[in-house]
Amino acid sequence: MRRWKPSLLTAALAATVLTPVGPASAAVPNAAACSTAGGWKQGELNVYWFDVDQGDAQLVVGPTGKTMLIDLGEDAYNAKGVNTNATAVAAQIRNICGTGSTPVHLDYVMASHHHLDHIGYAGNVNDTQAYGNGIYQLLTPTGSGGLGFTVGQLIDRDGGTWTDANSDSDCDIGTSAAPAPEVDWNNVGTTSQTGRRWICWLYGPANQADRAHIEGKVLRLTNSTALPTLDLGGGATAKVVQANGKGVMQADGVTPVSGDHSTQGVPPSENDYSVGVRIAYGPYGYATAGDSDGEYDTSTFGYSYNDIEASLIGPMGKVETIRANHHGSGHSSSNAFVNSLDPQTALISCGVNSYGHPSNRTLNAFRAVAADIFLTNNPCDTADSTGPIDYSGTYNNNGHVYLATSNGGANYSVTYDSGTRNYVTGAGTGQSGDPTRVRINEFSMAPTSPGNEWVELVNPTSSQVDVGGFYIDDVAAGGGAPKQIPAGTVIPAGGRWVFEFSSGFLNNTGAESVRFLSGSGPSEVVHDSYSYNLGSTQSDKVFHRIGDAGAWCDTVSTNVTKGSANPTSCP
Amino acid sequence: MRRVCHVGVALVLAASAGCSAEAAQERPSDGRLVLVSGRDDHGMLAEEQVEVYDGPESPTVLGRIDDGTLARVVDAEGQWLQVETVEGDPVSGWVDDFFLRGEVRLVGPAPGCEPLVGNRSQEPGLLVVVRAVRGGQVLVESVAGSGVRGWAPRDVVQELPPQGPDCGEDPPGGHEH
Repeated sequence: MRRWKPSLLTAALAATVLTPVGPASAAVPNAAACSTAGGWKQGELNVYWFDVDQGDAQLVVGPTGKTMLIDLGEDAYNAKGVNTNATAVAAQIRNICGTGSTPVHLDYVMASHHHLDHIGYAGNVNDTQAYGNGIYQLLTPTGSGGLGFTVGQLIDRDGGTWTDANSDSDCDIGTSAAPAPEVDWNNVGTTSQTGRRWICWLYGPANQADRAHIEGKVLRLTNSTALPTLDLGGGATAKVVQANGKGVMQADGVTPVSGDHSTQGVPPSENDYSVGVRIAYGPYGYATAGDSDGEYDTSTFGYSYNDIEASLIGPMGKVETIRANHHGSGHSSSNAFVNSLDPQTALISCGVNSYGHPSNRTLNAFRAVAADIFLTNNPCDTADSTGPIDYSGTYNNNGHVYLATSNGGANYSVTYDSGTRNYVTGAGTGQSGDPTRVRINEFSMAPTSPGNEWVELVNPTSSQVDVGGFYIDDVAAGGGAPKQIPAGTVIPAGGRWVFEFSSGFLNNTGAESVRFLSGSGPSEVVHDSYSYNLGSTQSDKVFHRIGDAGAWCDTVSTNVTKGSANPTSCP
Repeated sequence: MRRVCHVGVALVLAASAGCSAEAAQERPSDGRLVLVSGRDDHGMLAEEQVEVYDGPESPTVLGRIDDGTLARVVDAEGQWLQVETVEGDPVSGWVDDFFLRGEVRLVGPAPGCEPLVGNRSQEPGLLVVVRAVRGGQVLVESVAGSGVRGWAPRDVVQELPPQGPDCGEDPPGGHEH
């Protein structure tokens, strides 16, 4: 057999590689705690969504400086040294926590699930080449080539554990051609070397040098123990509400998502084992749940999606902010989930991808509850299965997004690359108002030439409403193409706005509809519509409601009140 | 399991840790063939062809192997394996194990997606290892305890479980995940 020989390339990498070989030191002191010299806002809840491209990494800093990192994903399995997301995120955390060049002690680190874009690629004691990025690199001692952060508790879902099948006192991952049976799967569908490496690191032997900062610190969320609530200090909490797909059945209604399904013909996605957490401070609530799915389906990659989000609705309750599950995938952020949690603000962590993230359906689900949408990058993908992705009305183009509460959680603000937006906790909508409550109020379908057709919208709410990017359409799945309302179109509280367009869009005779939509085509969501059926052309007449936003008069009217209050009676 | 050491700093620590190059000897394969894969953790086709090199971590590309090609492992150094294709164009070279799959799925034709092993129909997506390729057939063994072993058509072997109306022989992938 060929023997190992160091190449020039590997020798050159020696200064930065991780080296989990040799005994661990007996007692490892904590690194520096998050300091008041840092940029975080004391006495309030802070949430940082780092831009790690098509992945996730978020830091929560509680009112007293307690810290919780959820995920630290990588783009490439073989990213090394300074070219990793871990290195970049570590620098940002040091800055936030004001420790200069000194590593930070994180009170909690949580892995939502075992995918590269959430945890990175761990090194292994048997590697002959250099691997190790993501959470592994962050928490590996500097003496072993890592970034030297320490942790109070490393929280993991229960994918599996190490079994020393060959009694050699280390966790072997083997290769595809010579696998090592040293990972006992507990709750999995699809499996990967990413997952095996992670489990080998977390549950490996106590004396392994790269485990020195995590030995005795790992909390495995099993199905037989109660899910914990973590203390973030000063009254802030992080309540774990889901892990391992616990309690959720697969599409057949009888097979649990939990359990070892690694050899199942069509196994559940690893996404559906994600950890769900509700973070709270005073009245403010925030929901994050990894890549949980929100429907039953089979992916184009052959594994099953299961409706984990349905199990999250009750324990999450109403929140102010959602981090969109699975980078804004159309298989997640179900309408039921989004409508029930009813957020004011949504964060989508995504980068350049070809998965269709974020999907038009997801963006429209958040628009439909009037949530302001923030992204870590824009664009991420440019199209999904319904067509080009509509990013209109979203915030942030590139870089991390920062949320901080104020007044003990009664208010909060979100800072992004172009400014800061402020919110009142519990107000129900984002600053865009609630466009789903806008109504079609009156319309003209048969103006005498050269007049335009028009549709009047009314905003019956007590807040101004931004309807930019929404659509007016005629009959569903037919007629003319939907007409998009220009960006920046704001209807004052109780006000009206008239959308004019060239004649020939709405039918003068026969069956026809006027519809107010978010999205178009397969991703459309209908917020209001009115249908009519005329036997002859009714020139210069209109259909209108009784008063503004009242019931419809089902007869055409010559009492045209374009842009002003409707008649209070029908013709 | 062999005790092998990391490059770089690990080399210095090798003596105290009981590591040596001599210890790094083991059969590179248990006899199974591997599927060369350009897919990521999620199954997305990231690279239609996988590059192979003239040595572990070498920058010199010897050739490219199409995603989905079966190959034999002839040597190993840690996570780098030397492979030779057993179908398609003859290509040989070193590749990171990240790009290899030792377990594959059997997916038969639509509508049932049930593969035939011997003359018996099996569960769609059955997880197997491939032992040999001969005349358009593959010798497979099930991974789970069902004890399935026999010859199956080569075209029922794929990386991913069945999906879609055509059972996913060629998953589309794009913009849908």
